[in-house]
Amino acid sequence: MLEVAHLDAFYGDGQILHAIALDAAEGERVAVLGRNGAGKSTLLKSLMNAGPRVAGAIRFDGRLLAEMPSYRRAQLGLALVPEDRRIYSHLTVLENIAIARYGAAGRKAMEPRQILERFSMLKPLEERYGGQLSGGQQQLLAVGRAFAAGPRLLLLDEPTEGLAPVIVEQMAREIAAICDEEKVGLVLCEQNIWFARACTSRLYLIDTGRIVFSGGWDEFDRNADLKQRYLAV
Amino acid sequence: MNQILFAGFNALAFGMSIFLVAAGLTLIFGILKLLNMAQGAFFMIGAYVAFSILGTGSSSFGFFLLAALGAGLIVALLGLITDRLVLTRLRHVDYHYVLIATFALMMVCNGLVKLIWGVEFVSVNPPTVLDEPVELGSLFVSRYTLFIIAAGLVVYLVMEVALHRLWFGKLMQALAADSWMAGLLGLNVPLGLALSVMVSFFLAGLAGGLLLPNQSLSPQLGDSYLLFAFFAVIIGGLGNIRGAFVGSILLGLVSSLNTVLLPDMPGIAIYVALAVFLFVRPTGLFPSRATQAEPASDEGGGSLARSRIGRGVWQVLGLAVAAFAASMPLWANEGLLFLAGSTLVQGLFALSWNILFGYAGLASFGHAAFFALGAYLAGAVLRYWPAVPFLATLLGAGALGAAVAFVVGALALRRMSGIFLAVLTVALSEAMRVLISYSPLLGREDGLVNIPRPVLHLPFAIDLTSSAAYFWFLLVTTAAIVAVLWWAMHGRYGRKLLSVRQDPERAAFLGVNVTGVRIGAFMLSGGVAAVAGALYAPWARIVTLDEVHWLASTQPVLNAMLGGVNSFWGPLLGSAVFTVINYGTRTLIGLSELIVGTILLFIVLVAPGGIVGVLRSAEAAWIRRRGGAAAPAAAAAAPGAGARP
Ligand SMILES: Nc1ncnc2c1ncn2[C@@H]1O[C@H](COP(=O)(O)OP(=O)(O)OP(=O)(O)O)[C@@H](O)[C@H]1O
Ligand SMILES: [Mg+2]
Repeated sequence: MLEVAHLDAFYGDGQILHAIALDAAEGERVAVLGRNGAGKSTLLKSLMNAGPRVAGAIRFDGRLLAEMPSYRRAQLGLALVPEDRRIYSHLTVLENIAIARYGAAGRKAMEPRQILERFSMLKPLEERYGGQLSGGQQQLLAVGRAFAAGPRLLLLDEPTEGLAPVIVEQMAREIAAICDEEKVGLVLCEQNIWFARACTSRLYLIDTGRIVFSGGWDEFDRNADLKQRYLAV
Repeated sequence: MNQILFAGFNALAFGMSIFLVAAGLTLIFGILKLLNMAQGAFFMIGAYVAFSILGTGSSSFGFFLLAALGAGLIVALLGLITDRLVLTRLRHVDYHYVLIATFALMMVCNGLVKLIWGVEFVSVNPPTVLDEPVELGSLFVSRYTLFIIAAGLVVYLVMEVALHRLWFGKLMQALAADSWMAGLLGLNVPLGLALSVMVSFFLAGLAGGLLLPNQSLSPQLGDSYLLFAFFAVIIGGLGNIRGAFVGSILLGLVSSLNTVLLPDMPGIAIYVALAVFLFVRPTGLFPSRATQAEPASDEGGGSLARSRIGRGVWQVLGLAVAAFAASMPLWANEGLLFLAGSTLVQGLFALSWNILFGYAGLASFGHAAFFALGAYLAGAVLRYWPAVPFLATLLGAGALGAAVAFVVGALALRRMSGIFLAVLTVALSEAMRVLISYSPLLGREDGLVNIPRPVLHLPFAIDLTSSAAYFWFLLVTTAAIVAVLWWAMHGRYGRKLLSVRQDPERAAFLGVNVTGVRIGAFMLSGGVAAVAGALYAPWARIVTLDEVHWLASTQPVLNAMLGGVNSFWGPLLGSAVFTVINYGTRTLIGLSELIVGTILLFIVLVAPGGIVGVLRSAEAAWIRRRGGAAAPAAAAAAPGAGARP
């Protein structure tokens, strides 16, 4: 469904990503692991055309996205949950979810209330304004909101950051379940290896803007030095 | 009692008419963070369109409302065109360039209005039903005034409900708060922004139609409303509907009190009130987040590489230009000499503006106030106190300009926002205009005429009465001031200004007093502008209110932008080029605003680096084509651009 070939990304004159190749089949879930500053967020933003200047080919359903603006990509079914959450403080929890429906562009999508049921921690907060949520609650809401667009490929940028371990486990189950039910693909950028493993079937390692490993979790485990070399700080 | 009631009623009516204009202004600022200097001009276009629909005769109430709606729709369409042609291209540049662009747009609109509808005053009667008084208790008031109050209230309530209760308004707010995320969520951001521009322009056009019978219609209509709307929005807190509403009513009250307590000086209290208010409460009544963050200011600027042409070449060129200028009194006729002298003064004036903009990153849109300050001072001293040495007058003008700049800067720059400076400088020039027009000493509307030229009493007397002598004096003085400024801008002081411009936060972190540096730059700029004015008065021998007009304030902006704001010499070059353009188009009388506005708009959109920028790119391309990768170190700094990283 998603094919990325030879993707370079730049901020100003600085090149951040170098010749990235990455793909995800329909409904497939893959993880991208890397240190701080490796370029994970830049990669996801590049896929959405939402920040860095990009060269190279990004195909979605075989179609070149080229210069397409981010709102059109969202309507095609790409949904990015950015690392800084960006919940609207003037909207209630329910409204924050409802506003994402525009991305569905006619596709079948979960109703905002259904999403509240699934992410049960959000349920009692329904009428609360976005500005009155804790960081963790905002994180959950940001993930839940993404499902309102009926996405076909979800791009999650470190969704577990700042969440308690119990919540992280709950979220892993929830995400896997919804993705299975709704046949949603996933590109997950993470530092939490446990969570990434729970959610995905294979992974990429990214280091200073280059893909340095691509394969299944077994293979990753067999090469213990990978973790040492690319993830340890 | 009755008098108080009546004053209160008038206050409300005036306040609501301001609010009708301020509503669109604050809406577009809230969503696009764009201070639309052309809002008043589009308001005026709305009034003229409604006038074209209605004609001068009496009309029915329904037709009047339809005409106002029609004006709103047409102006909304103009808004769409403006958005496509101008605003969308400026979404990602430094906000000062947007200010300049909308300022230029205002001039284009004013010029077009004059071209289409002429300059005569016309007056339109309110529709027949509203054209009679009505008795409210013991008070007789006009129905039309009641209607204006009602219209203001309705617009306010509709906007409040639409923005805060309706889903559409919440979407708009989402766009305003975080358009990046809105795009990621699949909202059509460009469409939303274009819609909000159209709504804002619609409000301007509607206000024009509704307020048409309020006063006579002339091409100056937009100016005063724009200014009061700015004030209302600033008092209320930028980008906030309720603030604009309350601010408008406050302004109405102040103006009403002014009429009661100071009937001889109409319109002066508002400026005083604004100054006091900003001093006491610089964030406005309802501070919004929108104005807190200062946008990064280096994006549109674009730094210039050093010129690869050696310093020697430039020095020879400079000497040649100076020698040519010095020889002019020997061969040029009176008219040409006058143009040359005026160009020198304008060049100095533009340079003073660009010290503020190019080096400190702040734009003044009322710089003519400083120029006029110097010009009127010098004119008055030469006329009434000829014994005062002229050089002392020049120094006095500089000191006065710096002092006024200090006061304005202290009021505006405490907030670290250039938008306040933009509005306050406009206010300053308007306040100056109002004050001068009340002063018999300064010739009111007629200006100071027959200003004598001075005689310098150095150990020996130098008589500057002849044009040739005064021209040489101008040349020497200008060159001396430019030399001092060049030295200052290329030394530690210039570097300090640039560091503040590029990253105010970092500079503050490094211990630089950012506000102090900015106020200092503004004082230097204002002082030099006043000296330019003082030099000009005896050269032109007449100083009039034209010196404080919008057009006069635009001139340095245009000259600096035309030449190139990233180069020390750009403003001087721009002034010379503009003189030539102006001379070439001098037969197109009455089109000056249109020409000035169009050129300025064109530069902002197409070549924000000005002539120097274009030349520098051409030079770079030429050198690249010749394959000459000469080491940068070998290239001596081009004057001015050298200090840029
Ligand atoms: N807006 C920007 N402008 C310039 N450089 C940037 C910008 N955003 C990120 N970078 C640089 O790009 C590189 C990659 O950043 P990115 O945010 O993609 O890292 P990351 O892998 O997401 O890190 P983290 O795990 O900390 O979120 C970093 O070196 C960063 O400094
Ligand atoms: Mg990141």
